[in-house]
Amino acid sequence: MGFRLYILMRKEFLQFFRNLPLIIIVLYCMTIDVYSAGSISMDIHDYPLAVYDLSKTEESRQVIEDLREPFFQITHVLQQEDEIEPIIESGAVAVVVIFPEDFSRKMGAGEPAQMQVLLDGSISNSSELAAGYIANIVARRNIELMMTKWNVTPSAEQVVPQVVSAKRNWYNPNLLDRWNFSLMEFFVDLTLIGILLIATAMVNEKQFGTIEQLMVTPLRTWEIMVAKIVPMVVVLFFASFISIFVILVPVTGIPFQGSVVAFFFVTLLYVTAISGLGLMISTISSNLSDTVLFSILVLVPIMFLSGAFVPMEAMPNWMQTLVHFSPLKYYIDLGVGIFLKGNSLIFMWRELVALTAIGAVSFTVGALRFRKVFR
Amino acid sequence: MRFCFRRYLAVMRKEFLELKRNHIFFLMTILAPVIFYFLFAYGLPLDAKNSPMGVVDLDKTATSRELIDQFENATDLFNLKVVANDYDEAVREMNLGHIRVILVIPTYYSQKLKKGIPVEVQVLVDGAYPNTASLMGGYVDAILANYSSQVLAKYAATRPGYAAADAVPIELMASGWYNSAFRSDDFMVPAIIALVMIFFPPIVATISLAREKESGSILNMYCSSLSKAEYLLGKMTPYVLIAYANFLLFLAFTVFIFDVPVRGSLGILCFFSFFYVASVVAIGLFVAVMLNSQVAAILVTFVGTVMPSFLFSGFMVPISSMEKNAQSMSWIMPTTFEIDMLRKIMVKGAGFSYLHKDVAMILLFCFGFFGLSIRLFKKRIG
Repeated sequence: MGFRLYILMRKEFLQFFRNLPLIIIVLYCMTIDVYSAGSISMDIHDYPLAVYDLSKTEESRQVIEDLREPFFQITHVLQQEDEIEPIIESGAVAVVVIFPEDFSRKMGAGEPAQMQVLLDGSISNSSELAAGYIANIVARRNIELMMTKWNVTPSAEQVVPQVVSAKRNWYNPNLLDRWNFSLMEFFVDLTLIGILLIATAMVNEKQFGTIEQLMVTPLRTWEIMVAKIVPMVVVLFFASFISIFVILVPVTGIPFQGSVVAFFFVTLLYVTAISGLGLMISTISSNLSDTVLFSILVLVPIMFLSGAFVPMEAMPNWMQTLVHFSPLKYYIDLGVGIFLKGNSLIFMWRELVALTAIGAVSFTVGALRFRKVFR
Repeated sequence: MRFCFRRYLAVMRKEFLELKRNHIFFLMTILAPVIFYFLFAYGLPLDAKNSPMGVVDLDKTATSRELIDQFENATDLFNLKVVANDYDEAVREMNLGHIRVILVIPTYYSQKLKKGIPVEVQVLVDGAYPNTASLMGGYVDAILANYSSQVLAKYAATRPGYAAADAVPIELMASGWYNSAFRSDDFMVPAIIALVMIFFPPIVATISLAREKESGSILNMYCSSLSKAEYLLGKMTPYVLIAYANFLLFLAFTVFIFDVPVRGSLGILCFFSFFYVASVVAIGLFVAVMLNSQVAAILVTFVGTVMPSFLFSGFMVPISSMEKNAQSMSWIMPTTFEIDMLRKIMVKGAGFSYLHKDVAMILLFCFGFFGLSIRLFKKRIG
């Protein structure tokens, strides 16, 4: 019995390695795609900014100087008020800083000098980041101005009370979007090809009619199922190994903080869990194109309900409830926990239990459907 | 051969009938796009509101309480979830992803301030979601800077020889045009209309032609009197019409469910969006004309249209802040221009004079891909 299982598995491996397009897709997803997902950055650098300075004084120039690096670059110096609307409307700049004529006069008189900032709200995320950076730049300048004015400048003999923010970003110290996007793409791609490979391995037999030959062999249904799943799990295992140690760690530059063994243990668990979905799809689709479509249809909800792109707490409540049923959520929690944060598995036992439970359910349902259809 | 309208209509009718009798197609053209629209629209909020926060107060005085209050009073921004007694407890919660920011108030915090010594307050931000982290970090810094200037003002006022601390030197008046609250919905949801359209119509169009090629039923067309244009256009028209109906439905959802305004001309938006919808169908058609295998055609359409549209269309990041390579990638798909047009018309209320580039590119993609497909389609075997 063990022998015929081995023979069938060998056949599956042979079949996979002779299917060049499939190998190319798997490699593309796990290397180039994972890498290129990291090529966009949501943070702003050298963000185009326009200045409309009516005051033209030392004080306003000082603030403009502060704005320069590294977040903004001053691309437009406006001379007239009616230039403002077209450049924002056309999208040439998203930030306009205006200093009114009485800017330095008011500052000298001890009145608040107003500095106006117009932001393009239609690109809300970048504008909000820009607003935050400007607010901090101005706040720092304000503190300096106040100290000079009240003659309480900190020096060797004089200390001044202040609450200083010592901010540190954990897990991703420079907040590189690249780390996050590439890592999430890896999780998502592994899910896609995981479902796809297991489903196609079965549907291929259906489409080419070789399923009849399998049925008349002495192999039992569960043996066929195991022989289909195990080779694909092995392939996925190696594919993720390549993705991590050829792309994510050396090229994308994400440090692997936790235990590699724990990470691959969790990956194995996850791949087994989604193989249940692959089995289910293989029972409802009769040809390869349906398989691909169903895989995409299953993948996207799992992906969006996982917290792969935005943290869970930002979603509406009904959606947060659904997130608890997505196996990808727990895999990401565990994967990111081990990879980026260096957590130990015991520490995340809740996630581990949840992933095992979801995996057990999906695998059982898949296996039962499979037995019903292929016997 | 002249273009015969009657023959075109006949192909179109046949395609409609086929569509009606195929359950998977029904699922793909009507049900799935609606589900996807809602998943995208609700599932990608970019703003960092109500971020769960933890505080480690090692000082435990009225002064430290005052600082914590600054965060509690910042409504909508932070949600004070954990008040830990020690550092390790808070770190554990952060490692589990239950909180995203930790504020550590050191011992002797109030004593130092009273003596007039600067105090460092440690802020630890969960960098696992970099965008959220940048936003949260910005809020924290702003709150602390604001509080620090209050402390400074109080201190200056107590010192002899100084007039009562007068107002803040520079008063920042920031205002967001078009979307003063920086609502993520106004930014994301219009773009999501264009993005969902790149998901299904091209794939469905690809399948409809690739399937006929694979099953051999295309031979019927080869030996008929149909011209290439009549056949391909007739075949694609149902998909364009269904996709356009989807588009109008999503536009209505966006306006009525997500409260995104339409400040510009609805007429211009709907008119030119028709060509966008047609152009995405044409992309699917083009792939199916070039490839013979169904699976390959589906995967090429998916990898070639959906993935780049997600990354390079300016959907999450404005194109101006992308790197040079990514900026050039944004030119190769119509989605970039449709997203730009949707945002400009709906949120900015921009007039037609600001839309020349978008409209020209959408028309180019539409007629270009249909033209190429008709040109390269071969009405022969082998």
